[in-house]
Amino acid sequence: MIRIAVATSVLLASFGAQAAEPYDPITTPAPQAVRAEHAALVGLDQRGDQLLASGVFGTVIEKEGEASWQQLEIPTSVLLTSIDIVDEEHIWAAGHDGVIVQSTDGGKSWQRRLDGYQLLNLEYPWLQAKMTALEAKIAETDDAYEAEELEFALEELGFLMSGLEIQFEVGPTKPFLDIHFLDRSTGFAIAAYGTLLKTTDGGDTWQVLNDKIENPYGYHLNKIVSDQEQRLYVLGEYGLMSRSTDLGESWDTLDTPYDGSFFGGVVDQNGTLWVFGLRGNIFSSSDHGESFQGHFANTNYNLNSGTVLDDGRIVLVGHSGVIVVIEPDTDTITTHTHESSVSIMGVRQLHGNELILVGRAGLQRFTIPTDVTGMKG
Amino acid sequence: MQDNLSVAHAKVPLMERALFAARKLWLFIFIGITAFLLYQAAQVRPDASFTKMIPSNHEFVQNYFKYGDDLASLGNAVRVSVETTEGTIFDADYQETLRQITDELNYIPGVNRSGIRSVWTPNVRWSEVTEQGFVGGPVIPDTYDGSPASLENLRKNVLRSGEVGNLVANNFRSALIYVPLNEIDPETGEQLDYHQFSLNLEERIRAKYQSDKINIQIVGFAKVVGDLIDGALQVGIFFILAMLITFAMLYGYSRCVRSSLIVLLCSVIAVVWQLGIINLIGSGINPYSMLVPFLVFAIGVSHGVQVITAVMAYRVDGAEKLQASRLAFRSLYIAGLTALASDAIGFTTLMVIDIEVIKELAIAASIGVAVIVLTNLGLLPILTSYFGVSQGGIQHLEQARLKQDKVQKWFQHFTQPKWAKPAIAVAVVMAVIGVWQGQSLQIGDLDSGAPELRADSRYNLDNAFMVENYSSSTDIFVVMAETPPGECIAWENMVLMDRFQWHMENVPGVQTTRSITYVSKLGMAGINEGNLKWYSINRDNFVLNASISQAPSGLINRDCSMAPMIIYLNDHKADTLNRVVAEVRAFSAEFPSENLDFLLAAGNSGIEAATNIVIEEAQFKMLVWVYGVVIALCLLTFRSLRTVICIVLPLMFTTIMSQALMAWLDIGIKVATLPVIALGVGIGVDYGIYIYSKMREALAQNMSLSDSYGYALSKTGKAVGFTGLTLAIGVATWIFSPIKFQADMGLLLTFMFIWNMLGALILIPALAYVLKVGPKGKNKEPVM
Repeated sequence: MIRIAVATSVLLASFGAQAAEPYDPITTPAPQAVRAEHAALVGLDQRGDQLLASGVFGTVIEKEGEASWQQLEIPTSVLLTSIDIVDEEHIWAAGHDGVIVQSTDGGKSWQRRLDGYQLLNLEYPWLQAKMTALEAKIAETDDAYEAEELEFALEELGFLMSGLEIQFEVGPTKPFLDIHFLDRSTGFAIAAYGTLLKTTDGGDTWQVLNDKIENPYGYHLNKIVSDQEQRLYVLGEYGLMSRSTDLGESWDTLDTPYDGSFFGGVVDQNGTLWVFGLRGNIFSSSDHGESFQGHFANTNYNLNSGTVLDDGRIVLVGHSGVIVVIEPDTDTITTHTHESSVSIMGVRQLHGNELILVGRAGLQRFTIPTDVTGMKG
Repeated sequence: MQDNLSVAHAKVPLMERALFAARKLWLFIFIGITAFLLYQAAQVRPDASFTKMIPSNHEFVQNYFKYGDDLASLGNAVRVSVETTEGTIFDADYQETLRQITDELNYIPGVNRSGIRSVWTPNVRWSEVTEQGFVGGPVIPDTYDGSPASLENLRKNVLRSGEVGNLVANNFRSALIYVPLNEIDPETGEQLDYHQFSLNLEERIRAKYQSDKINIQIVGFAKVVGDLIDGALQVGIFFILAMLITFAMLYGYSRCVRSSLIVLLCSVIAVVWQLGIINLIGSGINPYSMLVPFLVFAIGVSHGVQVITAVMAYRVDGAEKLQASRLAFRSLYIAGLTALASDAIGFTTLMVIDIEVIKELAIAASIGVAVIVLTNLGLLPILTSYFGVSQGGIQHLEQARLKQDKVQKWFQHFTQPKWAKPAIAVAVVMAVIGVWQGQSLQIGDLDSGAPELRADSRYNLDNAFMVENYSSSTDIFVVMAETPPGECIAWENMVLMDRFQWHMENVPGVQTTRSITYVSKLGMAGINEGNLKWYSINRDNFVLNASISQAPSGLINRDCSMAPMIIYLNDHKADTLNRVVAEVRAFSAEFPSENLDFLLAAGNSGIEAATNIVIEEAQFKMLVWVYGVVIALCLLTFRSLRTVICIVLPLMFTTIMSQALMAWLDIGIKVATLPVIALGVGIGVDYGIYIYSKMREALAQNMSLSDSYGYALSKTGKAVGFTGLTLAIGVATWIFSPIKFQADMGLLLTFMFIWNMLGALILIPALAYVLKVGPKGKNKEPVM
């Protein structure tokens, strides 16, 4: 069913250019741009020699080994917020207007696998069923207190419903904020307003799992992290953090010591989970989220993303060019500022102390100073 | 010859009788008109109206006019930078000065007070995202007291205000005050007086606050216009200089103070008349048409010289001063009228350039030339008939006649194969090099900053400072995204504008772009805790509205029917502008939309693109016209194709060489330099006409080519040489103008006048030889 829909929209896209149809970024291929490397880039992933960055106007650029960056042909122009290299062949990227794109040939060609219209058709019936069930429950219950609780819950669902209904008028507005695949068949995509999708068949069908995470107000889900034992963590707005140990079928809400938003998380070589976000807050947990320890990085800027280096150090990047380097064994934290001072949204290690960064000014590089000139945290 | 001296000769032309029969009456009429027009001329206003300097009928400019009011708040501002020579701006004394200057600017008429921005105005705020949402405050809080602690706090606020590179220099050694202007005073309804405003900035800001520790830099359109008017007024002084040099030359030529003064007087009267008439027809004098008085003066002098030379010659021959004047008039008035008519027609070909200042220049020049007919062919012989010429002058001429003129003899060589062939060969080689060099000739202005002013002018130094220390370009190209009213921020329009911006950012030569879509995307990230994963145009109009709630004014117009797409360019070279125009059109073709039009073009670079297009089209048309007119006139006068070739080829040679010179000196074809080519050809043809008409007289008497040329040189050689030099000197003073385009005009005209003169004296005889002009078999032997 969804396959047919996808095929139709691909067809529409190829004819879109000829017919005087109104411009829709979902279906219009990404513009090839000489300054693609300088576009605002917000997604970055690495696998071996391959580096991929994604960003505004469907821009995806690739670097393999020592070759220079090349822009890939992407069949959409939405802001691609996240990119995930699963294996040699399988690459996923997700972005605004409910768009998910995939390559099965290592990045040479790309297909649109989901868009916001299809996402609406997934979420709307799902939410409708939820509401009907809840209404039935309210009708059944005799307990006045429970009825009131259920009424509240229904009201919240009503808000989410009206959010969906607006999209039927104006078009899909929901951005995916992260996409993460465990292997070529099982993967997750999270979005604004609490959307959590799962696929077990490589994106042919998607399950809506929004209600599996305790999120009554529909907070944004910003980041999904997995560890070596396939534990999953979802990080979101207002200190939201949830864990799953059964590949996303059930989720436990974790108690976090912070009620600001988390934007990113990494699992280091010791299996310790590090989460970070608004105003330079950093916490770590060595017991899979049962307890957290705060770390001070001497910055008030948002920390957006991070990576673990070969030698076990952790690098976090954030607004105004802030770069935080953590040595987890000694809990030594140094904070640096990239000369550009612009927001940095992604980081990966090139080799040694050489980092590749993406952010508002596109690609950038940074070398972690070997003499410790940064401010100690 | 003796017969001709008789005044009562039967063949006395009507014109001569009409003029000399009532000498006194004419004199009084001339005095009366001069007095009246002097009064008028005194009221001529300098007119540097912006709209007259641009091609106002061009589509781009029409679009710009349509939204001129909406764009005004965006563009018409000056930026005053305050630089400290020691330390950084985080210094109590420095901040006090910055505060004082910010306050002072509030009181300068024309300033839009509510829009002033500096770190000292409350509208400049810092903000950041916290757990509680946005927090922020003015960059300078109420608690500021100049203490080290509050300066440190200021430093922090500046860093998080996002104003580094904008209101604060990247190196923290200067900060600026953004001063938007009201084109029309909201209280009095009066037009902003740019000259006065510029003077106020100089006196009340620069002169008052500049010191060892503080440097002031000021840039902005209003300042350019102010400096332009200032510079144009200085050019007035050059006129006096040109007069003095010309007088010295006249005296050197004639050795007669009396006739030198008469020529000078009549030429000045011609200028007075021209300016008076300009004022009478309700026109003003603009920085381009300021050239006209100089030209009128120089052309007047060159014709006056012809007249007094003739008067003196008849005096040497023994005629009385009245008789001599009448005979001089009789022998010159037809030739003079023809030459002046060709000048005037040459000038009118400038009308093909659809730019008001050039049309005004063409009209002013045509009026000026018409006036010369009256003053220097009419008034001048009347004056000589009263005052005559001095005995010294007559003696000088008598002695000169006895001597063989070496210069004349040297030029005469060019009728001989030994000289003619190499001369032609050299000219051909030079022309080939010239054409090759001319290939690199560019359309438009090539210099950075304000191209109207010199690169080392105060303004352009200030501008270079701004470009170096702040993150902004001064070459701004604006595309107007037009929608039905109320729909400028509809998603389907915004999303297309957004893609347009990215399209343009990828055009070589584009630095960056700004528009409401940029603000909306940043706003989206702002609403979502600064998360750049939201850096996109949202389909939900409520969210979209929220995202632009903090947008600065000017990014959409009042009824939301237009949003300017601001494109910052690296430079304003013609190639860059052409590329930008082409890419805007390409985008519109690729993404046609019913409700959204990307209209070209505003901003200084947008207007310049339009000007370049008009200039490029006019360039060829004008050359065709001016050469067409010149060729037609020569054909009419001489009725010989060979003659036309002899006269026109040297002109074309000059045109080629002047284009090569322009390419070599990096002077582009622009509003200022295009007319110069027409003026150069129009006036340059005079030399050829004078020389060839005398040659023809001799050739008609079956004299050899060499003798005929010798005859022509003896009759007009000196006058041609003198005319070339007077014209050159008249405009050469312009080379020192503080205004770049005036200097360019002066340089090119000087070059063309001298080159045309040499071309006529050398190439006409050489070409005549090559084309075998003259009686057969008589060309080999010079009979001298």
